[in-house]
Amino acid sequence: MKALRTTGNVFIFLGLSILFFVLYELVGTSLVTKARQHDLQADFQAELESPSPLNPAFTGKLPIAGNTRSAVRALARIKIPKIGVNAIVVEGVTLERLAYGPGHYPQTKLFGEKGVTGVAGHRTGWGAPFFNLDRLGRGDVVIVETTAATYTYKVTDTIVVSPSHSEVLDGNPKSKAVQQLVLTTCTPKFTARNRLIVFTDLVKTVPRAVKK
Amino acid sequence: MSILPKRRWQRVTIYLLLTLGYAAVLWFYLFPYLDKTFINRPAL
Repeated sequence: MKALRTTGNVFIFLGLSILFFVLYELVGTSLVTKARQHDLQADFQAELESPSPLNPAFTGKLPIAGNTRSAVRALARIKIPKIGVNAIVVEGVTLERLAYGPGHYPQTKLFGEKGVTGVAGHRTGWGAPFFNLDRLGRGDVVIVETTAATYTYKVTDTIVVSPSHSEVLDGNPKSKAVQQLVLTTCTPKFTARNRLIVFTDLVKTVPRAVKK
Repeated sequence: MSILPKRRWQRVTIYLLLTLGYAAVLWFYLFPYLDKTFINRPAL
């Protein structure tokens, strides 16, 4: 009887530990990323309003040095209206960087450059910016704002590959677009088994107005 | 013979500290490892 009670207590203990992990994964990590994204959004907005020498829209007015709130620089803002994404993209796709938000693959082109731009984002925890990426279909819009321009992409294809298929970062082989954006995330949800790949083509570029 | 103190508040404090310590180990060491190993690797 005592052994049965001990076994029961062990199972309750393990069950509570698993529930605690679910809490960590779905709430704890996302709170961290939410706070970081808040700072990144503020930094990005400040950068849009005071162009730096690295920005083609630079007018000679420098922003105050070291006045950023985030330790990581905001690279761009990605918006996917259909699935309610509005997140700041940072440079790099290490897990440390992706804990800030979607990350730009360093080996791919930057937004606005000819070629393929790649962005990875979490699907579980850490704000899960790409949680509903599987809902995107052909023709859906992805908007990327940088300090130089606003780029509008349209989804051309969605595929699932194993994690070793890094050639997807070469772009959609069926597409002839000069500039493409490839979004990657984990699939199925709550696992890292495969990668969901969304190919998009650049359809419109609107340069930011130069402030005089 | 129990190694736990006789006073109730002392026993409660020990249980509380053990629980917090266990939770901290899970939260800061085990869970991040599980997260990056099994749940989250969205990059290629």
